[in-house]
Amino acid sequence: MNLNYCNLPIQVITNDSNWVDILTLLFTIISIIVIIYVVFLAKQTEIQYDKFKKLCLDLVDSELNNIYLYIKEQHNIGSRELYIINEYFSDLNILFISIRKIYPKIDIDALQNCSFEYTDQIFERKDADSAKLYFHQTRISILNDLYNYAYFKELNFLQRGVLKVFSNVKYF
Amino acid sequence: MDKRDIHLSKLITSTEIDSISGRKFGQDFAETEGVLKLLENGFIIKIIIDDTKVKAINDSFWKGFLSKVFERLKSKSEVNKLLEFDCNSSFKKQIDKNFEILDSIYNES
Repeated sequence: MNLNYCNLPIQVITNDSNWVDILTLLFTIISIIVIIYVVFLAKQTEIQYDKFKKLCLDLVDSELNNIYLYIKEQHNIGSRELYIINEYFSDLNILFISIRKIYPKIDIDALQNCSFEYTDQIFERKDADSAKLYFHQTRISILNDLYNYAYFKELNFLQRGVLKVFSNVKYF
Repeated sequence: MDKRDIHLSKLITSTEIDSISGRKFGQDFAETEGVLKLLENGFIIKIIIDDTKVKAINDSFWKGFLSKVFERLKSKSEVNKLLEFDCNSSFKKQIDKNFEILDSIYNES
């Protein structure tokens, strides 16, 4: 029984079908590789962010909290209070140095400048309300610098992914 | 080596003031006192802090006052050889912390 009613070349149809199957299979394999790679990068970034959070953000935040708890209790700012607040900020600056040993690209100068500007202001004004108000600005600036560093420099997921792909291209 | 004294109480110009702050203020004071020139000429500098007049100094002042010295000598061990401090233990502790901070900035090795 002849099923080839239109007299089409059966061999050609079979070949086309094979190509589609092969392309589909190839596409599926590439998709799986890309998905695995993206999941791997996401997990890697998550672990690195977790490390950054524990070693850097949490420690800095806790140090800033200690400073705030002290400042909050003060109704007058005299030289003794100034000395103690400055000492807290010295400890914070020492913490920045320790962080830079793990994250050498971090802009420690910018972070230290935030604390220097704050102590300059309160040494100048010697006023408890200003000390509280300016402290929030300083805290925001320091944490903002750290988050920016984490997201845009150290843990830039997209950039790291693209760079990795391009650095691997030369091996093909 | 000859010694030269620098009194930080010079910066207290009124009885209402008992604290010292400001990076620029520190830089200007180091220049006025010729700190670098004294070190280049082989002097040891003794910095005297009279705690009856000076009650608090901020890190920003120390950074301004000492950054050129650290830029030249790089490490805190070298700076310690040429700078001496005559002050109470609280100020000594503060100066040690600032040496640590400046050493980390200027001592790359």
